[in-house]
Amino acid sequence: MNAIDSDIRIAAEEYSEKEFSSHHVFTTSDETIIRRLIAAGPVLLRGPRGSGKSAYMLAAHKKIRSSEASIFSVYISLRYFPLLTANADEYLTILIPFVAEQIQKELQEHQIKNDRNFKAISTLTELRSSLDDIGVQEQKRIVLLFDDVAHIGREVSLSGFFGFFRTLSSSVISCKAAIYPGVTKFGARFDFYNDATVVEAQRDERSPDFQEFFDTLLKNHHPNIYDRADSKLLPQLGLLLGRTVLGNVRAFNWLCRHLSTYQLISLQSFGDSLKSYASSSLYPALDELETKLGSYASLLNVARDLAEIISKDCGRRKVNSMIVHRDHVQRMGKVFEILEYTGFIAKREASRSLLRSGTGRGPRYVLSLGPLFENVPGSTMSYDLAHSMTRVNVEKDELVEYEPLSEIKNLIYPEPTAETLLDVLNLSIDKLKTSNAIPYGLTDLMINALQLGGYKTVEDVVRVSVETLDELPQIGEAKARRIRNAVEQAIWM
Amino acid sequence: MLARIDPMRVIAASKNQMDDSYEAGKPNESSIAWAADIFSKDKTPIDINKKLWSNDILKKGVERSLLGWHVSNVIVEPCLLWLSDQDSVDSKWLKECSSKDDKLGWIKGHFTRLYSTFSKGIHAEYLIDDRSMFDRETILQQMNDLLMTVFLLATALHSSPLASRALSMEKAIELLTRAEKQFEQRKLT
Repeated sequence: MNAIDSDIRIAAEEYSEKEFSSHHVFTTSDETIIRRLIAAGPVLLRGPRGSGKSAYMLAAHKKIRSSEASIFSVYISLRYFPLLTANADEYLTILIPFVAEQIQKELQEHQIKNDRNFKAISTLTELRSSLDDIGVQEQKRIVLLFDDVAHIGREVSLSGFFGFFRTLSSSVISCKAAIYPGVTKFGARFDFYNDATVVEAQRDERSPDFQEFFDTLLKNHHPNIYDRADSKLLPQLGLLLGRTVLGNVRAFNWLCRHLSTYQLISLQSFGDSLKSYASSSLYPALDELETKLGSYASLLNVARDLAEIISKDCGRRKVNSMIVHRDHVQRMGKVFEILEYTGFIAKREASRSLLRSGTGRGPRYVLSLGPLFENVPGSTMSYDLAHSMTRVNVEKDELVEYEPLSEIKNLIYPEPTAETLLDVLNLSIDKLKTSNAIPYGLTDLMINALQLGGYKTVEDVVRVSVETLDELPQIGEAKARRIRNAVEQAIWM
Repeated sequence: MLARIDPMRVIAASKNQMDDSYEAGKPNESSIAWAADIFSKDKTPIDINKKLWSNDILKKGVERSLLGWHVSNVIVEPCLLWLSDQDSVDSKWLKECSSKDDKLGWIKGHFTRLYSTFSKGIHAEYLIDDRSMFDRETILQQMNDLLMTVFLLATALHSSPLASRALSMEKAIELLTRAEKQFEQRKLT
């Protein structure tokens, strides 16, 4: 694989089965998550983009496939365009045949014979009884891994999905679904705590293997940085980079690519990269969401204001941890979720006491080191500062707390608009050109080829297969796949 | 745990077992029941619009099950909040509990599922191949969930001023992390 290929593959599902193992590292904590996906029982795997949800699911699927276990698994990515645009009424009529078709493919790959014609299945009852038959016939339990189920801003169809998830789950069939933290609408029939076990996919700096994971990743996947790092910095570099991106692997790779442009990887260049990460990755990520957030797009300005407030307050105290009174989070939940989604903050605990003010309780968040460092007065990186910014336990009088009457109270929260078709679909195809906001974007050559072929908007391309794109002049199979991936990333976040 | 928050309930069971009227072969008046002593017997949830401590609700008496409305309100929920204020660096279980918005709902959800799953083994009710239902990964996962939720709840209850013979909070947390480590070590063997 050449460098360009490596850059554009930002999602686990874009790797071939063979490449997957050599590009993914799993720690003991990761194995716990993978075991959850293999074991019987319904699971919701929750994490922001780039947290590794797809990698966990594919690893579980791969492990089941290669084992002698009495399990039959199917990995089903719901990045299926008709599902994205479906309204609540038509969602299941699209989902069920699509899922049945994926199961049929897997059965064929395993050369499992069955009397049922999965391709003709159109109801949930038929699907469930056909899967039960397979379980009994093969003496296996069944694990269905649904990836990319739920998207922040596109929640109209979710009650349909979670009703489907609940009905399909049984002692024979275990459903597992990957969702984003901002997903809160599960429908009236789905009981969040009784109908599934929720597993958090986020890497947490409090895990004993957090540093080891990023050290390994740095050494194996970014040797150009590892080999050129200052000897005093090197033992801490994996940890510092991991903390900067709040444990997010996709963002870690972005940061490493940026860092690799420096001749010597020193504390100074690390500091510069932190600022670039904030200005060239995190803030553009908010801009990128503009056309994808549907009903929540109006909240982006508040999200920017909130990001500024918390970055300044944490910067002033040189800590990356804050407790926000629950009143603020209840009032502006989606704004916090947008910041989580884009990687500014990550929720670590659901409820802690606001110790300094004694005004109640609220969730604890950690802030990315990028915007934090940008807001430290003086902004000169030193080992003392790096230590201060990465403390896991912060003394009471240094804690950043947002009590009920704090500045956040003054932020005006606009009501979300009614759900509409995503604006991103109407974007001109040249808007997907590679940039800070769209690092996985298209080259000029690709854009020209698409435009000459009559593909003007994102929606024009999303409906077209790789094979059809391959027929365009100057577009081979690799470029066709890259176009396809770029468009999918643009739409599916 | 039941004895810790409602000693008389368990003393009654103990005294009854020494009484002539006690019959080992059938349920007795003092028998500990899952749906009465651990979960509320009345499956209909209390109308959230009525106040928990109003005359309307209390006319049936205080609901004394461990995870019922009244005990949860006064004892279990404050204890779980105390637990979530503890630093969780050494404990994955504590970290997992801290990440949940509704800790009691999370524990109750686990208990309901696990009680049902593990009783399948006792009643041998699966007519399909139980080796595929209870494979190693599944059993380990369920054992983890069982020990995790029981130990977390047990640890939390030591913080209640209403708990009898409670350990110091430091000792309770130490035992929680020790139990977790023991399980982690044993499951690898």
